[in-house]
Amino acid sequence: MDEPAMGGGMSTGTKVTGVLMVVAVVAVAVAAFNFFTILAFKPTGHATDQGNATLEIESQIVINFTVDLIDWGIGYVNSSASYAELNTEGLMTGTGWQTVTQGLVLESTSNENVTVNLSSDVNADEFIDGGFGTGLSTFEWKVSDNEANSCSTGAQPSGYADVTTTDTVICSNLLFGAEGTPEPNTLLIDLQLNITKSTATVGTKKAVLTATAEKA
Amino acid sequence: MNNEKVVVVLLLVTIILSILSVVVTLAVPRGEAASDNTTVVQTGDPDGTASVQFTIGQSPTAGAG
Repeated sequence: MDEPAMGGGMSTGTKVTGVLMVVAVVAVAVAAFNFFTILAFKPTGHATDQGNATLEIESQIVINFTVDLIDWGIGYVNSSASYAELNTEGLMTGTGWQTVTQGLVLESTSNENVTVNLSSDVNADEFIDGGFGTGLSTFEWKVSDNEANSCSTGAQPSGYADVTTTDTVICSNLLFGAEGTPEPNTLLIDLQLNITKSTATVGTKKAVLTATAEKA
Repeated sequence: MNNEKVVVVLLLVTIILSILSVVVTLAVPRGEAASDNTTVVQTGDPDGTASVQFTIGQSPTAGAG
């Protein structure tokens, strides 16, 4: 019987096959280990990722006149006087006009402190004396806290001063609060008129005051 | 079965296991951390108006006012 020529008793082909067998067994073992490891650990994703949850709330600035009308009604300057004075603190020196004891009230229901500006669409001359530029009457306002400490920087003007037709800061830091609550978030705007007989004109007079707010 | 066939079978098993490993790995959903970026837009009303009015009537004894 012919025996294949082998060095050491094995042919070259048999040696190669043996080596390939070992390599294949190792490959199978590694692949099986890899496969079962993946199954065993059941990866659920990138556990080390980080996310940012950001909630951004924009400022909400809301102001509102909770008392938005002052109406003295109809009246006239007494014949014995050269002028009549009306204000929202109970002063009325003419005849016929109503006595008003409540000024305008401005409330901030914003979600942050605000700076408040106030302006009128007319000045005293335009409001009372017909707008001829020669009037002697006056139209003034005064601002104070309606609820104590509403304006942390102090409301102004604290005494009666001429209204302006351009924005005037009446409080640079008005606090805020919910609508209708006793929280300190309201300003009281009192008004005063001097109706001078010699220049005031007969008729119905109306002024519109505009308050604007911005983030303090 | 001769040795050559055994080697071929083992290699096929290796290939199949490798393919399965890849498939299982890819089949796992990639986890992503939640990331919410929510903006609450609120519109304000930064203006308020009020009216002041009165009427000057005719004086019984004089003219205007």
